[in-house]
Amino acid sequence: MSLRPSVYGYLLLLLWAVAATLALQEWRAAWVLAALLAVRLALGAGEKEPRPRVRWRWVAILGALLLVPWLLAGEGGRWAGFLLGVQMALRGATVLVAAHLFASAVSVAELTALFEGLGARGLGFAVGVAFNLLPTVQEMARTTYHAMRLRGAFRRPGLRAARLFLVTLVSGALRHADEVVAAAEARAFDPAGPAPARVPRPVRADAGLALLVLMVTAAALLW
Amino acid sequence: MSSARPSRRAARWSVRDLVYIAIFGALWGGLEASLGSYLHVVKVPFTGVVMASLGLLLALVGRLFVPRRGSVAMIGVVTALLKMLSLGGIVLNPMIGILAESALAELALSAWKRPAREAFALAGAVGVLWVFFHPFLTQGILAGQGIVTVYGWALASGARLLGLPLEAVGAILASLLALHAGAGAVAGLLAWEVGWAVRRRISSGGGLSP
Repeated sequence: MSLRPSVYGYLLLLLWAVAATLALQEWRAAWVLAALLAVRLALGAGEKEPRPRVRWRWVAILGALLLVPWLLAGEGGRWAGFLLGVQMALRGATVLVAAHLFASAVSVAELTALFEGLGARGLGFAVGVAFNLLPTVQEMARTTYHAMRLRGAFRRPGLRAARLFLVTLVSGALRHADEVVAAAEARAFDPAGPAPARVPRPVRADAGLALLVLMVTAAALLW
Repeated sequence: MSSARPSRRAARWSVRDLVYIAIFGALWGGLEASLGSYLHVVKVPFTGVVMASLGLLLALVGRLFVPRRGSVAMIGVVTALLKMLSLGGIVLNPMIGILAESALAELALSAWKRPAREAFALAGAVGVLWVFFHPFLTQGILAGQGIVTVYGWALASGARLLGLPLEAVGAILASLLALHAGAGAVAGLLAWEVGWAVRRRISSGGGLSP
């Protein structure tokens, strides 16, 4: 039996973490952060990102949250300012860990299937297509930029050059889109058709996560 | 029987609409990944205004090709999800920003029955105005710094960037709001121009060549 929650479980965790961080005061958010870290430890990193990367920008922001109240407080209130900074950093870190857990554990296919299951068939298809087109679009933008640069279009950079760049890029992207439309129609894709059979179903681990969420919320409120 | 019947909601979008929404979402997502990251690293002032203006410009061009209610909001949702899924890591703030900007632009567009130049200008202005209010939500409420603290930061940075004394609160706020709305309106008007130019180019059979 797999212990891995489905997309519903991870979505529940993310929404709970954001709501609890907003609602719980003072040190109570520590309960939420501890629960999230425990889940991450128990389930391991997601398939998409086997090793968590340290993002120094976020370390700097959390550090600033810690230090600014301490520095701005007067001599007498420095300790109180520091504690306030720790509380703010704690709330920030909680939301960040929840978002990271969701982003690293849920794949595009799972999210697409979730949208399909919720009735937003078009959105799931659009996200899947956009995800696959992203490298093509970026390559298209690079090609357009270099083609225009070599022809001297940016010798006098301005609104005219930017407009020409955008018109060329969007025209090329739409031509490519027509090929995708033809391919989808050739495969008989119909956004108005019946829902696909593989809609994700909640698993037992989701119920475990829901129980954890309830217990941690109760503990944080009673503490 | 009932499962085979298409719902009214799902029947709204054709395959072409959805692929065009995906294309414009990918264009906005690509812009965020390349120029957005670069501008944030080099700490250019008003990076949020620049990125929101360019993003909404693309989304509004998309509206000309998918002239249905909800298309700009849908492009925003696709971009936000791309940001989360493809760029990895923690991008909650920009995701909230993209969703709010596109939703506000969609709201402004809904006042007109058909796409119009003025609607595009208003949608751009309203969407980019969110950039001014964004820190109040993300840093003031979500991060718990307090709205008054963020208001103080906004005033201080505005005074510094505009070269005004900190006491001129009204002038600083009015200038910042006008700058945001103006940039958005220009983006909206440019979207109208670019959209029609793209239409002309496609209908004339023009290729990828600039």
